[in-house]
Amino acid sequence: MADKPKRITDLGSPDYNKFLPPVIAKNYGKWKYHEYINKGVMKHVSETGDELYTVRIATPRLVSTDYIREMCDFSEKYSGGYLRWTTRHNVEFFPAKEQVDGLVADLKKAGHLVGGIGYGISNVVHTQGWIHCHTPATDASGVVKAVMDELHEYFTTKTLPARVRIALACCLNMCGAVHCSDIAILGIHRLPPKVNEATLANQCEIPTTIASCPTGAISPNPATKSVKIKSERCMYCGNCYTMCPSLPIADGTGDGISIYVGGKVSNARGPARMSKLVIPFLPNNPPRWPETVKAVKHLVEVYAQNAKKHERMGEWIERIGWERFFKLTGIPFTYQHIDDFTFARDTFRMTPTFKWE
Amino acid sequence: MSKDVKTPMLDDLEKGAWPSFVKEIKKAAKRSNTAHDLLGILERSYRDKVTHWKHGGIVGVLGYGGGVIGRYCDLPEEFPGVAHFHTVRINPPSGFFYTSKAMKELCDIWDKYGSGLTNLHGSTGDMVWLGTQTDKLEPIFAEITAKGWDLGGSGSCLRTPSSCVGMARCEFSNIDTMSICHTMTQKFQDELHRPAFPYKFKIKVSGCANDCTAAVARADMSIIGTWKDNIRIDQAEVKNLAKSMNIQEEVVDMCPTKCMSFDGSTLKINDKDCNRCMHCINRMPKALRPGKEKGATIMLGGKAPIVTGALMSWVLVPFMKLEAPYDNLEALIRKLWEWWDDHGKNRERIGELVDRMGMRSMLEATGLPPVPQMVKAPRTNPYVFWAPGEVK
Amino acid sequence: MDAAELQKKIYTLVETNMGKKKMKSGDLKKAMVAEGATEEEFKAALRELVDGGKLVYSYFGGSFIEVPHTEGSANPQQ
Ligand code: HEM
Ligand code: HEM
Ligand code: HEM
Ligand code: HEM
Ligand code: SF4
Ligand code: SF4
Ligand code: SF4
Ligand code: SF4
Repeated sequence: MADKPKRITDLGSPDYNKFLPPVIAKNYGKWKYHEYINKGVMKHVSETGDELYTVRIATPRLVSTDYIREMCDFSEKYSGGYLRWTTRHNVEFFPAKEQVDGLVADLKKAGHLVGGIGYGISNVVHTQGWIHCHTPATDASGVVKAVMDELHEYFTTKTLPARVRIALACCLNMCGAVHCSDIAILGIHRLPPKVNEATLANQCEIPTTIASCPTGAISPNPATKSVKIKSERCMYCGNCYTMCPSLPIADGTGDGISIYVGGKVSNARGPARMSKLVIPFLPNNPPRWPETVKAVKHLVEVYAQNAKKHERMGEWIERIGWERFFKLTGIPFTYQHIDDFTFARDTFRMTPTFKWE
Repeated sequence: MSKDVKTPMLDDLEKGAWPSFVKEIKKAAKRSNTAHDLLGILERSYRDKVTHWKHGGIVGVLGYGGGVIGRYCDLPEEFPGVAHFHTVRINPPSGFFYTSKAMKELCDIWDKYGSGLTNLHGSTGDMVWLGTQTDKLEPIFAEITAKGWDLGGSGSCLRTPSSCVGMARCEFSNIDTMSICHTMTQKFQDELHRPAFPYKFKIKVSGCANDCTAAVARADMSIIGTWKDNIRIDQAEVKNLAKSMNIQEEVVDMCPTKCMSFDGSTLKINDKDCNRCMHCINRMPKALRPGKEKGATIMLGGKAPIVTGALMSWVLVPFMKLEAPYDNLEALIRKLWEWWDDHGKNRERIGELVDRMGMRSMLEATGLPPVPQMVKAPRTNPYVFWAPGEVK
Repeated sequence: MDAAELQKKIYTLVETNMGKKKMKSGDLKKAMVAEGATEEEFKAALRELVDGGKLVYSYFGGSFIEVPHTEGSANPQQ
């Protein structure tokens, strides 16, 4: 390899200091307080007296370089060439005070949604789905688009009792870690993988494949030099498919969406908590997933009507009780709602104390 | 390029108020075969209700074990533009601040070698460049490194660490989250690029208990800023705020430890009872600020459900001072990795190893003392194990 | 241990296990340490092999070390 030029490696992350707007570099660590001007604009004030304005818009997460260049142009015109992405896939600009209105107007004129700050629905954290992944049980971008077309006013203008964080993961690997969201949309498979005996011996290492199953559902099938799957043990995690491409798990009828609610990561008022299953299955119905859109909208509306100010969805449900939650939302309670996996007993109620209404 | 295919289902998703990813793919498709055929295969998925991607395990750049995810479609004859559709993960700057100049340079490279489509950002925090072919990987790598960028992590390695915006723009931050994130990324380059762990390891840094990076749910090591002394109160601002909000109802009554009182003009906090949950500070940022003795709680073991069920991180070190260059944090992380490396099985996350081996094994290996902050309450079951030598 | 000899041992171990067991970096390390190499020597030897393209990392749910080959998914015939 001596004839090749030396490759540069192990650079890591570029120094963020190069990318900080001057007012942020100057006031780093000195911010004193902030105010929300409206749903799309906030103001931070420093101990030095300096002010920073932030304007936020929603992106579709999957964007073209044309889109990024457009954002760069906005930043050059209004924000000194500086811009920031939030991890909820929003873009932020830092205009001077007198440029805020001009920027907001320009963004709106170009069709962008300005908002996402304060009590409402910010952008939806989501994963790849049919765009790029090999194990999804539903699409990601399409479901998010359909849901937010219906709920976008909670991003731009309408407020809710507190933040409602929506996240979507297209399989239970949960790249997006939706398990701590106010509303989690989760793709699920309901059928075990099919064994492709013709290709399995060629494509897969049988011991590795067997070891990949967390529930021990896979055993060798010496007759066909392949494997067998005990379907009553399979919980459709797709682990085996990642290890062995001859065990495809996707199925047009078996796959669909489930909805979990009431999680949060903030410790404010009470600890972070996981989201809980409320709708075990909704069909995949592209391109607009009407069942899922309706369900999410309904959950947001029932919460909006009933929760107290500052109460996150999970806090509201804990106050009123799960039995009342199911009554208020009209969602049927089924076998699937009762846990039967590793930590099941922790979720059973051990008190004879209920809210009957 | 496949011949023009009709995409009626996707076209429907160009309508509506929310920004449309279909419009984005179509913009890129004007220039790129890959993006063009992505439209075709995605429409097929919408019709069939299944994915058309296959997993691929051996693509990458020379010397690295991560940063590229191999992907192939199962209909290569129909959609040759996406026969190979690998993604490239680029390590972003901590905090996700960019200059337009740097962004445009990256766009130029991506337009030259790939589909022109990206995720900003993937859930780990990397910039995700979607859709290129094996022979383009080395040229991409050469061009990004020449501009000062590097690949992020994938596989059984340290994943790209990430942080909240912290001191750059948030007055709540008790630690310099962006600096911690950047410093750890740089110290652990070998662990990030050359997978040597039993499975993945994620580090996320949040400046306060609001935990904006969802560190507690998404990271094997969650670093969350906190403070030890008293909340700072500006009583004049309290009086001001009392005009525009109901302090009793919105703050005092909602304090989980009931340690606050308000007599209509003065707000009192019994800091001994406060557990530093952030609620009151969130509500009254002008009047209340975290104390001055700042540090972080170090937590371990959070992960999504695969394989044994979702875990949230639990407390390992209740309070650690974190000041550059963070050697104390680095030393702790290295000790944890060593223990995990010695005992972990393939695909066993560190939290799962603690489940299997017990907290004691891990605490002994790292030299951390058992403290009450690690548990919600001490155990109730009497099946207590004693080590030989402890019984004298 | 001599660097060239160590590299040869690592390569042979990966090669003989091909198709039977996928080897992880950690598996190889344990085997080489058992044969008398230090962890640092192992790390350097593996890096040398991978930087030279003799061995590659692969990903199937977890990361493994393999001899380079064209894989199933890349091949439309399979
Ligand atoms: C239910 C739990 C959650 C709550 C309450 C929550 C709350 C917040 C809040 C208040 C923000 C502030 C910025 C904004 O107003 O947009 C935020 C931003 C963010 N959240 Fe969450 N979030 C939650 C869950 C998650 C989850 C599960 C993820 C990731 C999968 C996540 C990732 C993010 C990211 C990446 C940002 C933007 C960070 C940045 O600006 O640097 N959050 N979240
Ligand atoms: C067996 C378990 C898992 C498998 C097989 C798996 C597989 C994958 C695959 C194939 C991708 C690439 C998706 C694509 O770009 O096409 C991916 C992406 C990703 N995975 Fe996983 N994953 C697993 C578990 C997890 C878990 C537990 C997490 C988080 C806690 C996670 C976080 C991510 C993230 C953040 C991405 C980036 C994708 C994005 O940003 O949309 N993965 N995973
Ligand atoms: C720019 C700096 C930021 C400021 C000034 C700020 C301000 C606030 C304020 C005032 C609250 C209280 C509102 C409430 O109680 O819900 C809050 C809550 C929160 N913020 Fe931020 N935020 C900032 C950035 C972020 C970012 C970047 C994230 C996450 C990525 C985030 C995540 C959260 C979360 C999770 C809560 C808790 C919401 C709750 O459970 O009540 N914040 N933030
Ligand atoms: C440190 C370990 C424990 C000790 C020393 C202990 C001791 C005792 C004693 C002395 C009694 C009274 C027996 C009687 O007078 O009839 C008792 C009752 C009982 N124990 Fe335990 N116990 C222990 C742990 C547990 C645990 C772990 C459980 C269950 C989770 C448990 C459940 C009970 C119950 C249900 C009773 C009957 C209570 C009642 O009649 O009101 N004990 N235990
Ligand atoms: S959540 Fe599952 S299906 Fe979706 S991108 Fe992640 S691994 Fe793939
Ligand atoms: S899908 Fe999961 S549970 Fe079912 S056989 Fe495969 S690995 Fe086992
Ligand atoms: S975690 Fe705390 S310090 Fe960091 S951005 Fe969120 S509110 Fe601010
Ligand atoms: S931080 Fe939380 S516990 Fe402490 S005083 Fe404020 S609301 Fe109460």
